[in-house]
Amino acid sequence: MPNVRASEVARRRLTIASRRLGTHDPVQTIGAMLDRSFELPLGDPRYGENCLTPGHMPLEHSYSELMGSSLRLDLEPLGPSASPQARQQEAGREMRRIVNQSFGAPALKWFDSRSEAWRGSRIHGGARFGAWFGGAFDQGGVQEAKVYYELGPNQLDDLPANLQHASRVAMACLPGLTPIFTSIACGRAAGAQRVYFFHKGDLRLLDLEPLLNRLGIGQQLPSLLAATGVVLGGRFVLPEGSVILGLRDTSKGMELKLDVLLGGVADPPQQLRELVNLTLAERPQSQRALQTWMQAMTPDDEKDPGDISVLSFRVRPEMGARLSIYLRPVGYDARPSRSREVA
Amino acid sequence: MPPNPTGSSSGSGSTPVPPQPSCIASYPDIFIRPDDTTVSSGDRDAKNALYKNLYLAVRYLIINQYQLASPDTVAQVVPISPDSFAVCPDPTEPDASRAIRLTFLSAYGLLFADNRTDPSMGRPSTARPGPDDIAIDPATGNVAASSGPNTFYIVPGFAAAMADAVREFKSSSSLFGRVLDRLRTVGTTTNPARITVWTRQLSGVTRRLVDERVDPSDPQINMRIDNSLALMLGDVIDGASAGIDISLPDLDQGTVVDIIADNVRALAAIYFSSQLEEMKMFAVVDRVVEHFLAGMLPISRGPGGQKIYDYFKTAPNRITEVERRNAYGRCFGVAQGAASDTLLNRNFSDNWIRFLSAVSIYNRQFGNTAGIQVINTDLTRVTSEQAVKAARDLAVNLSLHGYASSHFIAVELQKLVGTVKDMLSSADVLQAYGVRDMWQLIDRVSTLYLGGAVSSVRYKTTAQAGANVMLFLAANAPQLSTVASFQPNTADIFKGADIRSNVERWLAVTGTADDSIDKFSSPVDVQQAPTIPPMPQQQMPEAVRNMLGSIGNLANVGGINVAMPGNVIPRA
Repeated sequence: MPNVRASEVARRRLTIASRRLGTHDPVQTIGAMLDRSFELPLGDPRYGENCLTPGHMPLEHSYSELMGSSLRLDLEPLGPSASPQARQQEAGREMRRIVNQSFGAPALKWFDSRSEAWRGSRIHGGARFGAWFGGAFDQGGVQEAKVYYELGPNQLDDLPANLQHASRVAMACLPGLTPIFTSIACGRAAGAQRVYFFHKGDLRLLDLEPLLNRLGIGQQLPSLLAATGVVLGGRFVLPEGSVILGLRDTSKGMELKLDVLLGGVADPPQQLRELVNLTLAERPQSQRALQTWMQAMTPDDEKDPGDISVLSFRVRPEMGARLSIYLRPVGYDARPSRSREVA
Repeated sequence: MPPNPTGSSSGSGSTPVPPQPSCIASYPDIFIRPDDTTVSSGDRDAKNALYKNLYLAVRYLIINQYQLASPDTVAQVVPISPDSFAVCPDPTEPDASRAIRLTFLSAYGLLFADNRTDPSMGRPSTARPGPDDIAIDPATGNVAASSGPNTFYIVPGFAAAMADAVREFKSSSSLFGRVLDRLRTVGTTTNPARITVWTRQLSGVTRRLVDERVDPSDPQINMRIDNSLALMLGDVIDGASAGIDISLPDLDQGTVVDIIADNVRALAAIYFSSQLEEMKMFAVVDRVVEHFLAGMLPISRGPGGQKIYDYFKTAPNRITEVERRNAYGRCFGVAQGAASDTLLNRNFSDNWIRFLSAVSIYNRQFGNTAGIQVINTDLTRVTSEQAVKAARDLAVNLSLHGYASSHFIAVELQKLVGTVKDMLSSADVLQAYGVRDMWQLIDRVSTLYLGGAVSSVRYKTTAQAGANVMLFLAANAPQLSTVASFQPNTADIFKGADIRSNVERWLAVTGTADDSIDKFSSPVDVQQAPTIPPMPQQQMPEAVRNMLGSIGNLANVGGINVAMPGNVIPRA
């Protein structure tokens, strides 16, 4: 389908996935942004020039144990030729429109106060992507809208005081951490902001202990180690380039999110999906939700929904490790001109 | 006719003006005299060059297409050189000559007020002329025998506008005469003896009087003229912004008018204000007023207190923060203002950085106008065509978003910035906050009350340099408009010291890295570049859309009928 715009395929697949999951159709809410972001033909190699899913079309779906029946997606807006500032403004505009439409003026006011530093014309000169947009949809409509803003040097000062303090604590405990972006999410009942760090060098999971203790979630270290160890096949040292840490200030304390970028792991386990299933076996409801989600996201002419690109574990003071899976959906990238399978 | 140093009288002969010995008549929108210190020499030369083409075009048409008098007589009254048109009223001058001069001034002023200042309407002299185009040789003021470097065209669209102007003048010629007399009286100074008249005021004031159905023989006509002039001076004197027409281009003749210079100028003013907004200047002034009203500032009676109080009292008539932010969103796409606004400028950021990058790299390759190569880099090479394209894309984008309210908001923001700057610079206000200048005041109040200060140097620079870049595009709109015939030296405009300096200052102060400049200097294919604002269609209410969406497989969802053969039916 060389002349089909990728946005048309994305629209159709999202609509179908939303029907299968029984959620609101995201196309009704973000259809125009999909058109602006994926106006090149399906499989165009230029899509690979992005920071969300380098080498692939920048559209990612995710399953979260905490939002098991939702259709979640993240995307890099405006296509590969846009400037970071254009993306920052596009993501901000769309976020404000959706928040205002779905959650009302008080939520918009909250978002505006949190995002003021990124909604003007300022962006640091070395910005790489500017911003991403994310959304979660359930049967009631938009469940959560999220924007990820790239952080420049010294831009920690633009974070709320609590998050700023937690960030400095984290960087003191793990000197390899570098803040790279922040996400601001608005839901129906509350909003939340998270700051993400890239970890330079290998990370021993046990090295997280001082940080977890300082953040008041030290008791969840065993849970985090157990979940990570099982899913990654007994690996407790994560190589450089595979770790992103996120911190979020919630009403019940600080939440830590450990994202493992599978592209940065040299030899990820072959039976990754089985291991994920094994981890979720102790929570059958989540296990069933994942199976439903996988089925819903699988196109009829494909065997599976795509490749898992990121495994994410989050812990809070009152909650053990919970899993999220980020998926690079199948069918958007150019197919090889001939089969290379050995007969 | 040579400049007449003596004499007086009127345009229409109805109200003679007393004779002025050794008098000079000055028409600053026809020719800016060298002794005019209100304009820099660079601006003066540029404007005089622009005015000369309009002057010669109006002169040519009056001589050759309107039977006012014999061509020789008209040519004598309106000499070929604009600087010789400095004739004071002369009571001995024949009525016919006075009528010619009045017709000329009125038509010129009407065209000027309508922004018809370019007889070529964007057509470069190298373009192939249309069948009805008239090539004018500036040296003779007549039809050019052959095309030269200074030759310009009078295109049919301009001739039609001239016809409209003459028709408008003839329908109210006596009123034009009375207004000219009054403007001469108002513009008379004795030391040095000079009569200064702006033709755009002549046309603007007369139009107002015509709209109000004022009789030229009204005994209070002078008072009415003064009132109209006061209104005009209090508003805009650079031409009625609402008078700009959209002229659809005739591509066959190579005439394009998709860059409206005034639209771009309006956006320059709004951009300037938007940067000061980000600097928190307006937020600071609101906080200062709040402190003043709460009695927190140790300011007694004085100019500073008066300015703050006036600012407070005029608040209902002022553009609000929400309205300002709406304008920034519409004009530059920043995520501010109304969340539901649909006509946002989504492409500004991309066009902006591409233009700055292209000009920066172009100048690094080719150097300045003196041919000096400034920096030799290994970055991507930018051709002159690519630089012109980037400039054109940006100018078209700015022009598109400068329609409608932008002009009026720009004028108001310009006034507001002036008022705020004046207020925050008052000595007693600065003293009350213990600072030395308004920038320190902004820093202090931002730090203490507004969640932290921002870099005032950065925003001062982006405001000034960014607005200047936009004004540069407006000034060069005719060259950038054309796509029919590319002039090899068009890109030389980017080698000027002003544009180079403004571009580099903007890039430097925002810390734009060389690899970003390199990346965005490459041209992109612009899929859509509309030149007039779209008319948004009414959307289907969400409740109806939801209902249709819930019907199931029969519904068209997102424009795709999932029930059609060949489409995938959702699994249960």
